[in-house]
Amino acid sequence: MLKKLFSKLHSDEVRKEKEYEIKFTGDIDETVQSINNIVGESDDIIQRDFLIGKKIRATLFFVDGLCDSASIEQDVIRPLIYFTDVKRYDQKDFLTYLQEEVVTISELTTETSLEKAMLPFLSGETILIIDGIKELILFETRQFNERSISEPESEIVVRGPRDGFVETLHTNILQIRRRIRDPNLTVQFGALGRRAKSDFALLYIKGVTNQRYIDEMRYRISCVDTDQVVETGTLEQLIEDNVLTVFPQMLRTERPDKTVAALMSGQVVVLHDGSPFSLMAPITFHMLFRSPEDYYDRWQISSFTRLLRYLAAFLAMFLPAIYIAMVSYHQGMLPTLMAISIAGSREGVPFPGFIEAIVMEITIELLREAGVRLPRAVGQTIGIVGGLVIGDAAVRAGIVSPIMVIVVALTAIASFAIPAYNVTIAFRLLRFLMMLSAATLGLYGIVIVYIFINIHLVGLRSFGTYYTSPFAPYRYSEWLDMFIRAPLSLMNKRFPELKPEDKNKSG
Amino acid sequence: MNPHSYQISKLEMAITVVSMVIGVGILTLPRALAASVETTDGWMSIVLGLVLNMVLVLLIFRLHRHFPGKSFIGLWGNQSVAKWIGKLFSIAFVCYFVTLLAYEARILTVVVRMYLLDRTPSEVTVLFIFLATTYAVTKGVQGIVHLNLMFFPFVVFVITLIVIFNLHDASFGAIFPIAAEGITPIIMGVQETSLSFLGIEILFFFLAYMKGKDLQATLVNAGIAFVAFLYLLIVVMCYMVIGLEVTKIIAFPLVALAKEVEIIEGLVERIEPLMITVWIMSIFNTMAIVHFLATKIIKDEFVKKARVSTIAIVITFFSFIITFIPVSLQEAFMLGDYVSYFGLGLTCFALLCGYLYVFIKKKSKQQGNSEAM
Amino acid sequence: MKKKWLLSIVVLLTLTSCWDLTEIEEIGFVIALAIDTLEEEDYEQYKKQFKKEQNFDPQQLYKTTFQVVIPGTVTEDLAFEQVPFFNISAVGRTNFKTLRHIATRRSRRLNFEHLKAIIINEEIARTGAIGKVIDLYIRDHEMRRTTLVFVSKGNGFEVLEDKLPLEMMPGLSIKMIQDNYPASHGMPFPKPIGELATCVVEEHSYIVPRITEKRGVDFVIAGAGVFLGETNEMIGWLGEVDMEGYNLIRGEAENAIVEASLEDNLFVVELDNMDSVFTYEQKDGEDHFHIEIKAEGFFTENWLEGIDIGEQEEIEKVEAALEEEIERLASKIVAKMQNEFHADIFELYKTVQRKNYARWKEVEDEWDGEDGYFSNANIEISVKAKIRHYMTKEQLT
Repeated sequence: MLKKLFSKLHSDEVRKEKEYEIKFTGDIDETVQSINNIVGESDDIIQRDFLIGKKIRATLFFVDGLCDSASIEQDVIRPLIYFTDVKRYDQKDFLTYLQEEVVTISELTTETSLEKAMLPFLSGETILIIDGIKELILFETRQFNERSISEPESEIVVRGPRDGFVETLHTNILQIRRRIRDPNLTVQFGALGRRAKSDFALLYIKGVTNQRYIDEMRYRISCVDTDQVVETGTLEQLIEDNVLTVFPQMLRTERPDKTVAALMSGQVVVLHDGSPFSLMAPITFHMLFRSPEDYYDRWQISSFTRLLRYLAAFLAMFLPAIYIAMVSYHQGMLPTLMAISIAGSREGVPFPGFIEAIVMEITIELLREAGVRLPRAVGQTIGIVGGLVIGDAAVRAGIVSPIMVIVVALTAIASFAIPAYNVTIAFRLLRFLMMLSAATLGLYGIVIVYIFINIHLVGLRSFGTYYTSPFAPYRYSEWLDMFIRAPLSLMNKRFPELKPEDKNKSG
Repeated sequence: MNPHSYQISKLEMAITVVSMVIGVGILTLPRALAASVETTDGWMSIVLGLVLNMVLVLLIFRLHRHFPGKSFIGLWGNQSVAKWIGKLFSIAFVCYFVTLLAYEARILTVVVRMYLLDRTPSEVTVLFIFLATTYAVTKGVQGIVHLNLMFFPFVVFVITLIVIFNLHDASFGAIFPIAAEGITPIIMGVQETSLSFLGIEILFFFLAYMKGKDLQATLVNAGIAFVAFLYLLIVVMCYMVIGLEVTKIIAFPLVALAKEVEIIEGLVERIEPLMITVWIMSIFNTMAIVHFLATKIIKDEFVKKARVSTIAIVITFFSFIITFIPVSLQEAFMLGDYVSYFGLGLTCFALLCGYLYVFIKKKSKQQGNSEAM
Repeated sequence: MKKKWLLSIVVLLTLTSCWDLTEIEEIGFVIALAIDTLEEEDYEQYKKQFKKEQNFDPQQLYKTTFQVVIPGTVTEDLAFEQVPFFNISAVGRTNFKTLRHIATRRSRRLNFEHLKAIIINEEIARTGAIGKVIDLYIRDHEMRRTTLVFVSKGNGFEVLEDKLPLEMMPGLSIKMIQDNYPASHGMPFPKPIGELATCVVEEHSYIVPRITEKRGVDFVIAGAGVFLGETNEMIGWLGEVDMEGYNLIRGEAENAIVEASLEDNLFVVELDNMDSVFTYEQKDGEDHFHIEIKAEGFFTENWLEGIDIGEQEEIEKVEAALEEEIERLASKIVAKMQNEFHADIFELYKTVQRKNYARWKEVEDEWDGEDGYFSNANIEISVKAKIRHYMTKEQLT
């Protein structure tokens, strides 16, 4: 099963930068082997063997999609294959001859070191190796035609790149390749679904990502046995550790920059053809509160927004419950004047606090759901009409108190402040549980449910990683990037819980 | 399932012990101290009690260094006599843990009824906390340790908050004169304080999850020194803010201390419900550890085949019954005293037996060696 | 496994009903309360009724007046035209029983979590029952330790009837007025119920702020009742001038002003920073105390003539006059306490306790009271006053 999915066996060797400075002797087999050692595990690296003038062995290497394949075909392969003047091969100026008289491409360079050739190669140039010649020829075949890539809709940032993933797998991989020119970035393709056989790609950086996670991801995907996988969301549910939880065990994003950051931190990324979302694993709880913007703004600003997001999560989960507990159980905790004014505003409201809260929460959830489904132009109107009119009318009719409207609105706003949409949903669901417990046992109920959630969290794993790390177990170096975001110069360690093979980011 | 796949680091061990020790004691210690010492010198008793317990911790670590990777029950091995001693100890420890669990639950209900829900039946509050601990037990040792790590900062934060916000009301002269009545009352106080550090006996079992080379008592001792520091702050604060005489008669002086707090008038009118909330977390930690250990001993020593959750539920059932045996608060406190004395006695006795066993083993080994020569 | 747990939790949650649920709008928040003795004829009437029901004479009868908020009027715009509170009184032998009498007359359950002030009638205070009267209000978990306690001269419930302009209800006004204590010299430090309970238990003399109703219009918080520690009986009043001296001795008159005179002309100094240090010495079997008052302040009002405040010599003269005035105020109250009330409200005993514990053990039981050790102690007062600056140096005269 495994072998079927992955046509190439991966090598366990980890290539460090120094190791691929391989002097090539002119023997084509040796050179090809060297290049394959470096980038051969990736399935989007194309190797094209042919004979020059039916005699001399030559090999072309290029990155699928980054290069203009029409130009390679027209200007490189065709003239070389139809080349007949074989005698010139033995002459010393064969290379110059090829450049001047055979190849019709506009720009080319020669290179004598494989190491130096790697960077242009990964940015879209094509390598030609000719048997017996001690130089590499690099053709400028970079392709710049942009496809219609639009800004991701579910994750909008103020500062940061505006491109998002699209439904085509290769375009998505290109967006990542363009950002990471490390030859250790490995892309492996496979097909998913018994009948659909849709393409997916597994991405990781050799020498950073722990081999355990790569193997585990491979194994889990290979175990998927279903007719069709439409979206990465489906895949996520089929390969996650624990099905009985509201917390996501993999992150998903539409943003290439976030995906790249995940790769760099040692996570495995899965892309699927037909889905603009990438999956990242393993993750821990604190990663749910990260937005790529955090790393583009100054650290003070980012730290502030980080803290704000934790506050938002707290409000989204606890605020209605605390309101219920205060209003129905612990009136003494409210400041005197506030208690009096809440009591005054609830005068005449026929329902107990719990029913009031539930009614309003369900209303706002309905509004949210309706707003998503409606055509975009109408959606906003409905949001405003629903929010303002229903809220105001409900207060006037004496069904709910004005304070309740504030609480519900604040909760809704807070739940939008969390960067990941699927996390928001988790908090929204837990909110109802909290409200129920607050209505039955007040603060005691809230703390008991909170304890239950914590017990659940410490038992949760994402690909075998403790979900609550870096908090439990303590991983101090990551605390710099948890509630606050320390200056970038201080964060020079990768998150140790992901057990990266290269522990340092910098320094 | 390989129980030894999870390893507790030194710091985690220290925090686990701290979480275990902070429980009922932190609420009642100032009163117990004020009542038994009768001067404001209680804080010195805390220091003495700390020293006593540090020695105990050191001895436990020393003992376990002879048996890395084994719990106190496990170290007795499979030889006939030793095995039976092990079994006896496991019965004693299970009884102790089950009663302790019941006692903690009882105090919890008293506090919850007094300060949060005054008409909710105690049975319901106890049931919920037992549900929580039972669920925690199913998460195994890693879950328990990690829960301690998660709740620990809350507890420290709230206690610090209470102390800081009481500072402006504190009359620092109140703790003088020092040792006016001499040393005797301080020694009387040690009786109370040495019990208030009880919880170190969990080391007998948790040390099995540590690497052999990590078996150093320093950090755990630093941990209980930290607890002592918290105790000290609270006790001194109680004397300075609510006075010695009143501390003597209030059931839970720490809550009274929290009642004195007024944070920036108008933000939160009273913080003692918040304090109780966080304290519930800390007592949950204590209960979860105790519940887990009782379950683990039974599973390892008596019914290896039963499921963890089944054993945990059975223990809950017994503890639930014991919880409601004491009729009044006074009886509950008496139960607490008995449990603590039993625990301290058991700890000392276990240590004694352990060292005796090591001694005998060494002797016989030497004899074996000399005979071989 | 997990499913089973979740299921059982949900089932339990739904099975349990909400025992403690009381909606906020169904509660009557008590903001202040006054405990009084009954008037003669009322007393007779209640006594008769009680006897009819119970067949014996009541040991004691108190009348408690609760001030309850009407929240609806607070939030509506009419706020200041309607009275946002009502007062309700009940009579009973004990506080809790009295409280429960209200339940038969008003639907709202009384809630004391926002209780701000307790006013105790002078007559009750004089019987030594203060500890017992406040017992309920500190014992119950609903109560807080920061509720302020006052002793009223005259009927306490009358204080609760005076709605002050700009303020919502008397209960809240009392607390807000008491917050002015650093600025007003004659107002004692607030006495929260928690602190009072400590005083009652420790059996050392203490004072409780006084509240006086004035002509049915407003009330004054000034002066204090003196309580003898041993019996907890109120033994007399301290007036506003006494309070000034008391606050100076305790070093608590931080923002107070002192009116002093130099050559029959007045001047005013506002204190900015002050402190007092007690030292104790035992000489020839007698107790010697030395109270050193240090005060710093601004020269704020000038009625002096012919004195140039800018001159160092002149200012020293002014300072001397100030010192003299402070010393006069302080000695007056000390003399009053030693000769008239025989109660150590300055907490001088703490100094003895700290300095000479053996001596304290000896005199502990006979510290207060006539011919007690406090009354016979030698108390010396010295004052060091400094005028830091004199604001703008306008020469109006």
